[in-house]
Amino acid sequence: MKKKISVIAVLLVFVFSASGYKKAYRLVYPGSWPKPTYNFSENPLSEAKIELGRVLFYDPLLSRDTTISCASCHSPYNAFTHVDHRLSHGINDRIGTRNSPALMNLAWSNLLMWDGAVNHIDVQALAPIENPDEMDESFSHVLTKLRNSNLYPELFMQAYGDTAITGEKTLKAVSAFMLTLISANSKYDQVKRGEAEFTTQEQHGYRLFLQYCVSCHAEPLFTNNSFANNGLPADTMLNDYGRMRVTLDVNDSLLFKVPTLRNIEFTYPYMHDGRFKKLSDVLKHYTSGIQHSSTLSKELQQKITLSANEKVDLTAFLLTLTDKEFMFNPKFGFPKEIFFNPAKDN
Amino acid sequence: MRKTALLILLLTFSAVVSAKTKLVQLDFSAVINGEKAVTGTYFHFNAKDSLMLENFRCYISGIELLDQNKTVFSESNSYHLLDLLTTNNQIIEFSIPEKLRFTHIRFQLGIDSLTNVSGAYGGDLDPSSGMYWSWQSGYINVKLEGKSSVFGKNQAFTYHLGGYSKEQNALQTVTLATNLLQAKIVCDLGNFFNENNFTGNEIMSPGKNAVQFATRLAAAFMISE
Repeated sequence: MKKKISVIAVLLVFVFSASGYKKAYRLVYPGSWPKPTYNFSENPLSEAKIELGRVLFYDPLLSRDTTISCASCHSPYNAFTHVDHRLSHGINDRIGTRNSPALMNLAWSNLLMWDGAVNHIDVQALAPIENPDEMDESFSHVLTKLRNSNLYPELFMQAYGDTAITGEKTLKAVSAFMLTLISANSKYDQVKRGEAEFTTQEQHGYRLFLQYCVSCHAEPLFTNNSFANNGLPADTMLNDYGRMRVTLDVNDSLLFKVPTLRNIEFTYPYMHDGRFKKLSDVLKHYTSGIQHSSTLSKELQQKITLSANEKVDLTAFLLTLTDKEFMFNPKFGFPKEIFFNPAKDN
Repeated sequence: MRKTALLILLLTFSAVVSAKTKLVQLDFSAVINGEKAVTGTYFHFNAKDSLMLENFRCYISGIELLDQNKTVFSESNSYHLLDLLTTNNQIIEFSIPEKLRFTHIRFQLGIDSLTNVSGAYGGDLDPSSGMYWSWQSGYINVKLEGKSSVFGKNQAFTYHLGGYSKEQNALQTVTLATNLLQAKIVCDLGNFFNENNFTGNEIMSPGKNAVQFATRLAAAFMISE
């Protein structure tokens, strides 16, 4: 009887270690945070799946002429957004109507894009891939290219246990990588954990933040993931009315997604169309630039007054949301060992 | 005595376990004037108008069998992407209990809203099938493309019907009376175009036009004799 059990035990160990590709990956985030809203049972994470997603994220093969990757507009050193450009540019330097959002803490977001047009992170990648101003490629042709490559069948094998490359598997791998982009180690986070202290200036700025900003930019994600009209007059060239385009509801006119303020130091320019270059421009908007309309956020109905000193303090607080560990984490960066491995040359 | 008892037990057991089933086969196609529609050919559907189809694909989902008003069977994992212009038969088949009686077939033209908000699926629901919008999440329930003189000489039409949310919900439920195990279900496009209730030759996003068009198109599905 004993011998039978030990034989079975050995077999079980063999079976489980052989299926290495299924080694589960547990998302690490602060215990004080709410639970993610992403349904992991539909897309369990594993090291191999995340790695496949990372390679896809940085691979310009996904664009029509192999010049644009996701990272072209979502650069890791800028908290995964595009800097120095009001409107992000894609293939052949074409520009769209919006500034690319910063990618972080996506497991807590349901609706994506500035107007919430994408309702699930697993189908997010379809939008830039097929947008003629961004990557200008058809998704089915992307799959053809992946199947014909020397690199991907092996990566899919490691991630999914077979070399069949489907749309569902490709999208879920990209999601898997994006879900690991968690920023939770800024100075603010360290202060909250009792490992650091705000300066007097930062402390004062935090109090102002709690008074004027937190209702939409709620802690700990620094967004409540809702849509709001924050008083930006519509740009007369772009005529972008935000969420209304998706819902066809006039009550959503000029509503845009509340972005996270984490790493705001590095995600300029600001707003959905990048109209503000500096944080001081943003604060100036909130104190003296708000345009009233029927859909203006109720949180902004009362005038906000900040003295010059208060603006400096508030800015000092916002800078404590910078998380350098996130931006320079090699696990999130360009997978050079995959792309520049001489053995894998096509 | 023991052997007989065992035999009776085994027979009962096998009778219960191997309950008999029968196969239901739903054969979907598109017709114009009784002829099966195919791509590239011009069909005349009345004295003066013609129609040439280039693409007619749709999702059929949520298939149920009813006995009068009561649902007596629901197909599991009921999502099918059909190409109604291909020469291959578009047959959806499933097994039902042998003793099951039904009077109606019910199905949905399109994909339900829950699936529309749940991300990427595989098989017929794979987003690479060309029946999923990239710029705004959601399935395209029907793609109907071609040319018709109804819109002018050699004028093209492009109808991509989708939308799942509130007033934009273009999903349609079709209920057809039949008790046949092998039912032929046709979409009569000749009749549909002949009615000529078009407000334009293009619909490519969710909204009122898509809902109206989908409602009328769903009514064009019928059991063929």
